[in-house]
Amino acid sequence: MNYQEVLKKRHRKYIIIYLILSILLITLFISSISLGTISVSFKEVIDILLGKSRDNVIANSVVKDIRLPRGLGAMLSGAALSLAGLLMQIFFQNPIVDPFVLGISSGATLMVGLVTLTGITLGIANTSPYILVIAALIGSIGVMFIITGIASKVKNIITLLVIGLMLGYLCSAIINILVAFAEKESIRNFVVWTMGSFSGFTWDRVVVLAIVSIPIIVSSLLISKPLNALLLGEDYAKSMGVKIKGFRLTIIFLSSVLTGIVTAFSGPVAFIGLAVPHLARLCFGTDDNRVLIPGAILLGATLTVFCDLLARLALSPVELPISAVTSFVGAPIIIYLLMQRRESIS
Amino acid sequence: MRKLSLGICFILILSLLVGCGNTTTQNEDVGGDNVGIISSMELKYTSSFDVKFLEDGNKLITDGIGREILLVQRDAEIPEEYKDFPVIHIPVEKVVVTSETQGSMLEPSKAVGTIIGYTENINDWYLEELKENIETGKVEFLGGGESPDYEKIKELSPDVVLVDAGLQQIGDKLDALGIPYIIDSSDWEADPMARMEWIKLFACFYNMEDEVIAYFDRGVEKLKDIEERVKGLEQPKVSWGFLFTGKAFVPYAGSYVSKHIELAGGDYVFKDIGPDKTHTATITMEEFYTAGQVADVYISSGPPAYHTSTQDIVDRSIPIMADMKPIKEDAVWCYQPWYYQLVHETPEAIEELQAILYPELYPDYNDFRFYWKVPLAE
Repeated sequence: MNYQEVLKKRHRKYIIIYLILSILLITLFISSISLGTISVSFKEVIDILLGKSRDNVIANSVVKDIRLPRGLGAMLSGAALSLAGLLMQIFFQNPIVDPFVLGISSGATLMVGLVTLTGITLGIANTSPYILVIAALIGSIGVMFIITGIASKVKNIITLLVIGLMLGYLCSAIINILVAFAEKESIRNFVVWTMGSFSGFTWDRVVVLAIVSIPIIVSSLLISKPLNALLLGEDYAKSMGVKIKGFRLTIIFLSSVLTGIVTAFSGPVAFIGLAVPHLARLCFGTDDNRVLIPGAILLGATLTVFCDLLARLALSPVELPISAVTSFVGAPIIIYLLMQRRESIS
Repeated sequence: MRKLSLGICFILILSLLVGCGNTTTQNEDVGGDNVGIISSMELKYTSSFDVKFLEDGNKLITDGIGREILLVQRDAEIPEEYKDFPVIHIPVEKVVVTSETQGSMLEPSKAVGTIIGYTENINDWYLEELKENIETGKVEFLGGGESPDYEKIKELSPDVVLVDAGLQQIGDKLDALGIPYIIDSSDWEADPMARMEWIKLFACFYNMEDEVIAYFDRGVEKLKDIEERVKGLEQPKVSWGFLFTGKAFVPYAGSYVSKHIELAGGDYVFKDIGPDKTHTATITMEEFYTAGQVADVYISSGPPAYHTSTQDIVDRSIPIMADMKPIKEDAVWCYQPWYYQLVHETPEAIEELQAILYPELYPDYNDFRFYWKVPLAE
């Protein structure tokens, strides 16, 4: 078999995997808006979505105002976190980093902690969801600016990684101090937030998430070539015409914004950002970012929608924390695939 | 790069402004200017909520976080001046509760039967009517309070969801679903009678204000009598709190629990901790032991399941706790499982605490409904 044929075969394989993932994502998304506590037939769901069925007010509201925004929120969040994780793993050339490694999520958690854990003590009774979202976003953006500021001065990637980890520890230390002094009524709310959930997604939030994440997801496809160059080292990337300083800042900025916006709306969602890039590499059998970026986006969206569906339905009406489900579902898959492969993940 | 950063920041801020643009019901004056107010409800202990009576039997209430909500009689029109307010149609026929105290607070309005769903998974409901309705499936469990089953709530279409202030984040989604709700911050009150006074707000949903105000006033009179009984007597010292994983969780001096002890004639040993705070402080075992060892009575703020004997308390803390005076002298009590479901009987709860603190005044008091005597370790 000559090289052209090998390439052709490989492309065919990628297309088949993309197709399978797309079908899986569509099936899971339809399941996510069809299944739930309230029984709504598949036909009725389609009619509601097409605006043909308006008689059943309850079913309309359940599908349009509860399941649809939640399903879209989970899908976009999964895609965003997976992409952010992939970008971070390429940037640090390290397979065990995730979108939270630079302290972005810790910054969000710190700000939410400040609001929820000190709110009652300071006499701020009203901790509306929007205050939490804004607090989380301020925390993420704050840490992001610190990191980009440091990244423009520090040349060594490992140094930046360690600084990111230290920022995370600093935020965690402050959170622990806040928890130690907090009133137990607030601790419960805070702990629940840190477990993550897509249950609070409304259309407002989906619109914000879409406006922020879709342009970044689309634009990430345009930087797959310089990312490939970066895989072979900074010197090689430079020789290929990549402006390293600006490119590093771009990667940090994009992944921080994606992580920050998802954390702000759903709380920290574990596992997806760390594991989906691995899953994508194992599925596609390549490190080529032109293949991996759309693959990770599709896979992340699919896995997150599936986990959210499981979180909602497994012990209904009690909802499981999304981070528990993502880890519980994803970790065995990764272990199994790695054992099958018997190769290093690096 | 800088242009890209600025561009994304601009999109982010703009999106958030768009996203936050729909929060019209949070602490905002959405019109009305208090037109058509006939009178206001007299509140003796609390200032956390407010009720104004309007024409046609309608009411304008302010909930625990300052949201104004219009209560409109089912046969009345929504007044033009208040058309932008959140509306609850009264008398309420279907209500969802998010804490067990709310069940009890509906009791004076004889409205426990209107509960159709609850979000806290409570094993021991004390209110008979509610217990029966749960058993027969008339009342449904709606999942955890922080992320309830919104689909089920929508299907039940309650007239109002009583949202505990600790769960107010769910208000955003209820708003989006068009489900009316109020925020109940009764647990944040600094006086047990202020907490009980919330029964007056709930009475407004059933047009039962007159009956419930009279019920509350009888409680106030009873409380005066309870206070009189121990005036001039030496005050027993009371330790209160829950010990767990090397920490002690004790009510602040400014909490309703501290006031509860004072009204019963007790001297709270942690009266110096947070006199201006209304919740629970976390203190070290050392602090708890130092202050608590002089106490005559210790109330462990948990249900009997955690208190098979006083040894449980020692096991959850440090061995030296066994030398604490109330543990050695068999004066340890805990909450009955339904303790939080008797808020509407606050004067009776205070009286029972007084019976524990002053047993000589209550020689025949044996039917303890609020507190449970923890057996002494063998």
